[in-house]
Amino acid sequence: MSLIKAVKIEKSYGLLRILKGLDFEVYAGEAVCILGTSGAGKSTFLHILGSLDKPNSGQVIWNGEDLSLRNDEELSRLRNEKIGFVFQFHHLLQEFTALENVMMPGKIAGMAHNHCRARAAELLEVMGMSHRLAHYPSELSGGEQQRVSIARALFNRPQVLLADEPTGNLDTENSSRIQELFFDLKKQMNLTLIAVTHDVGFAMKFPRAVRMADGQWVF
Amino acid sequence: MKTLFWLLKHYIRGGKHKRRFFDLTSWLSIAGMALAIACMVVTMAVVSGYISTLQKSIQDSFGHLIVMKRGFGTAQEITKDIAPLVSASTATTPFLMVEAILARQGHLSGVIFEGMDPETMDSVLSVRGRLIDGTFELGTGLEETPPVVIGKGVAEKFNLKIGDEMKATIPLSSEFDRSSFRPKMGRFRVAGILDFGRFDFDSRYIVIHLKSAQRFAEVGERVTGIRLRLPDDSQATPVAKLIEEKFGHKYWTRDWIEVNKNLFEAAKLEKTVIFFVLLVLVIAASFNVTSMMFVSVMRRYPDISVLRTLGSPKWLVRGLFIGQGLIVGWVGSALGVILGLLLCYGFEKAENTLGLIPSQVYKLSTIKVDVRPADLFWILFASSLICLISTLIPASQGSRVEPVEGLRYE
Repeated sequence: MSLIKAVKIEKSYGLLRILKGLDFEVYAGEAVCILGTSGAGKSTFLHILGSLDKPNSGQVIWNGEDLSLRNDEELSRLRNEKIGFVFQFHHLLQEFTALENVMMPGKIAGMAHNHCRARAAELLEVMGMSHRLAHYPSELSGGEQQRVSIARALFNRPQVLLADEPTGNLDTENSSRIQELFFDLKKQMNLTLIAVTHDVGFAMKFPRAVRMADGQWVF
Repeated sequence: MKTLFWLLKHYIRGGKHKRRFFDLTSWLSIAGMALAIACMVVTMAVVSGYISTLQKSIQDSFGHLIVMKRGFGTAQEITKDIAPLVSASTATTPFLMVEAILARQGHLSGVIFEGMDPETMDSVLSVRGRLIDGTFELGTGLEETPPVVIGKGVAEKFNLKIGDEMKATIPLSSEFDRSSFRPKMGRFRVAGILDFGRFDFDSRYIVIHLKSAQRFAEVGERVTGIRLRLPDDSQATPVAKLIEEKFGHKYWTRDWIEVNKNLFEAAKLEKTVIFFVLLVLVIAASFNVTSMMFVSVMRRYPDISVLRTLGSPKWLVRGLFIGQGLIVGWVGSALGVILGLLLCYGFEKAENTLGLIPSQVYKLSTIKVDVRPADLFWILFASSLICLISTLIPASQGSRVEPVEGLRYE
């Protein structure tokens, strides 16, 4: 059985149709890349897969369960426990240090403070960021911020890592480091990885890549 | 809840980011709240001060309760009658009230000679501490020209100074025909001047030795009644009722509340009304908090989205904004209380130097500002409640932000 299945997903903002009846299926442990130009609708589709947004019609099925039947609290718990998100602009909270940003999913889940600290420090060490624990996001480079956001995404040992243009805001060197990091982590943690990118080079590294244009799959 | 407090703590502390928890809009809201609370603190303290000053001045010169026997009686007789009805720790002192006419330097006015027993009066009254000039000397009660201590109003009206002599006249009924009176004149020496703290007392009362008053009024050992100081002033009314129930028409009583009952009741009612009227100021100030919160919610869309993306439930986001509003409200309230206390201090200073209270109107020449913990509690409770209500709508709006809304743009 597939881990995530999307059936005839439609999304529009007013008269503007973003997604036009997309079907999609991904299995546990798979790494899939959604490739497309800006404005193709790939981020919107990723948000819908991660329960951050709702489709106008169609279904997203997680482990055989229709997400539209879950209430807001259940969806919040799903995001907290099962999904890790990585965004192009990192989206770190500015009032919190690197360590505290990584601790955030654990704190939201109500875990003990010391446990959260230890786990966050361990993840930042894996990311090669142990010397930056007490630094605020504004004191970190783009690449470092992205590593912190990856560590945060992995905090609760998610089943799926959803990455929206994770290297889109980085220079070439940092971009290739982050790409390597993704595949290493996927292998180590047996993650299901779904990434959205317009970078063909990055997409080529995935065993499976699908192309989207104008809200539809391109074959 | 721990997570909520952890988040709040970090937002208050702020990072190394230009966006501060206490930014200009927050400080404007805090300033509005502080001014409203300060107004409430000062006004409530002045009204409470008026009530407690009135209460103290009455109790100082009146005691808690007076028991008078119809047709006069001796102090021993009255004390013996009421002793079983009051606590053993109740202090008593006899008194004799003699109404007289005082004439001096073209002025003519009715006064009251209050005969007091110097040995027992201090256990019931605190008039000695209210002396403003001369000495509190009542003599032995045997002098030809007895020393008296007069109210400051009497001193002003008749231009009396320490050592001055004055004459007073009283009507004495004939021994043979009770319906006919003959005048009797007495001569007195001013030994001291008192500030009773009450206009009506100051302008009429003359304190004299009980024996001098008895000789002047020719009443022998008889007194008007006795004054009582009970262990608890709130017991004055029940004890008075008990005495009247037991002795019927033989005795009549008057407790300290009755002396200015209308004024006390009006002041208490006014205090309640003023509290609610001034609460409108706090409500108006809370509109600032609401506006600030709406701005804060809009500015924190990205943070809300990140928190929601990471799995934060709506209540946590709602709690974060309610917490922010309450903190602003509490800081405003705390600053308001401090400002209010400073203004109270300033008010007392100004009152002492400028004489802001018209004594003829308020029966008091000065008011001690009384900041009561109970008043502060109700002010802070009401302001917290208003702040809580004012944060609910913006906090609810913040919690309804869809996770994806703040992620679209950086």
